[in-house]
Amino acid sequence: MDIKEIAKIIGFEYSGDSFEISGINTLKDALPNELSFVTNPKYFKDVEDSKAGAIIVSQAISLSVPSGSIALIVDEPYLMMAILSKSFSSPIEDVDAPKAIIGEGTKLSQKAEIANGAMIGKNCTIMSGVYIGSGCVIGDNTILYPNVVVYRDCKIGSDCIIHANTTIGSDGFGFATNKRGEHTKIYQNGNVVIEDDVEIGSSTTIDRAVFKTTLIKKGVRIDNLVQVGHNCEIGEYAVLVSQTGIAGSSKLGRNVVMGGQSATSGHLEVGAFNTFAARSGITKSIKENGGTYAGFPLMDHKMWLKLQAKLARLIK
Amino acid sequence: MNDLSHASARQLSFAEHKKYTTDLQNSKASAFLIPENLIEALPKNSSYIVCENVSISMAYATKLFAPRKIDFKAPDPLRGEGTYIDERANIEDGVIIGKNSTIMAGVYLGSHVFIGDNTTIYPNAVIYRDCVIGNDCIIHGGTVVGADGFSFSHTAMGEHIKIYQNGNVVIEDDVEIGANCAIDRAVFGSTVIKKGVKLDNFIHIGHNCEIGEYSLFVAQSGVGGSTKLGRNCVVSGQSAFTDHLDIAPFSTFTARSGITKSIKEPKGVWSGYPLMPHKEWMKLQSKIAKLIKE
Repeated sequence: MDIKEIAKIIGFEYSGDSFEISGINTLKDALPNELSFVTNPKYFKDVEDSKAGAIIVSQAISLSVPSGSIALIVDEPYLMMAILSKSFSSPIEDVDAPKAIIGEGTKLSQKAEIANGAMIGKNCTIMSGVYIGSGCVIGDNTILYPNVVVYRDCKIGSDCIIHANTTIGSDGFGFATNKRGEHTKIYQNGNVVIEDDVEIGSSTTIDRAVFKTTLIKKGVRIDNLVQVGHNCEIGEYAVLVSQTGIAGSSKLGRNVVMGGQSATSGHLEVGAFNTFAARSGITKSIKENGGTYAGFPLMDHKMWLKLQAKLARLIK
Repeated sequence: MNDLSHASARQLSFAEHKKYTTDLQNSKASAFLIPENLIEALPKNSSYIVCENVSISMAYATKLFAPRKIDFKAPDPLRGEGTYIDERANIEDGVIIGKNSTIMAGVYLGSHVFIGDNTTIYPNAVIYRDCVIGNDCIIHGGTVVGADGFSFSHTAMGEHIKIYQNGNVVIEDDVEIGANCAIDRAVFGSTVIKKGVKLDNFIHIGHNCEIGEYSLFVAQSGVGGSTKLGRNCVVSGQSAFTDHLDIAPFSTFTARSGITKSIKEPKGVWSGYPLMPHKEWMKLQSKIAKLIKE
């Protein structure tokens, strides 16, 4: 999309040269042919270091935009980014892509729907009612139970098992809200990558990233009815028990164990080998490794046990 | 059949208890299921059946009015210009779909479902019969709209008699519903999701709820039956409402809030279970932290 066209959509008067912008990305990851945006003055350092070809900014931060980048100055940068995200979204299916490639020994139900442009490896089992979108890649020996839905461009490794009704790659929950309280969709143009040897229970949802990837690493075990938000990263061999929720952009280290109905807020980092008891509510990053935690607000598990004893006495 | 205040002249209604006396007196229904002690309160010229247990009789009666699961006599489905329907979608008769909508593989649209323009329904979403979805909506994979609301009458033996859910779900324009959500159909009337509402994944909306314009629900939250939310409410993750509440507009609930009482003042910020103003909750948490150290 031409920079001039972009400027026109967001109502910025641009008189410079034409050049092509291929997508939207974060300040850190954007390339010279990509567009980025900044909403909060505290990110001015990221603005200064950004390689983005153009950055949507408010007047206040516009001076931080580096010389190699074009400042597109608007009143509501976040809202303008949301409006533009639609222009960079892919069609729901690539109707003109080549027919899906299915590996040797793969059993494919006649009632499964494999969109054009998908690739499935060897010896997989794809059961009835499964949907696999355009551009999806599935490894070898992977089993998809009935009615699993995999949205376009997602990748699933080898030796994975995904149980019935699980949805992978649905849109992350992202909106820009204007002054009148109306919500404009931020199109989720990233994907989900599930590495090898991952098992996911039934009716679980893993949202696609807004940019780049939501990542489920090797050997992870996810129970039924678990929610993984957009842009999360779940470390190797982590275990997420039923009804757990991981909010957007949170990162769990390897072998983290989340008990039933526990949850994290967004944008957290949790160290490796930490264990969380059932119903834990994690609202702050945890740098230490190997701890055991409980409660909401979260505390050390031993403290939580003491607190329960004190509360029991308090009732009497 | 309908409830006392919504029943029209050709409908059957019911009153279980004396507290509904005023509603019964004002009801436009032509016939009623009532206990003996409410005969006096009946509107003039109405027919009635005296029931030993109105609740159970009402439950049995709902079955008599339940429409067939599939209407085989409905006209062929209609689709607007530019609408794409995947070959593997299952569209029942009587369905009407507007222009430029996308219905993907494995989607089920029950008899008489109405879908507006520019709406996308992702794979394996299920829309039960008679539900209405507006323009510019997005329904993600695995979501079920219009499944039966959860309601039963209980016998003295502890058995549960199904109350057939003969209402529907109405989703207005510009609504997005995440993956694997459940929006239950009304027992009578409609469960309503108003314009511009956005639901994350795993949201449960009980029967007869009304969700106000532009409200946001973060993942794994639930609303009990007949609860009404005003516009622009924000419900954070894993929060839940009990049934029959009225929530003022612009209310915000932090994660894990448990709402058991109606809220009249708009624009409040609330937390915890039992629910309290967010500031009080913060104070309570600091007191609990001190208690641990004592």
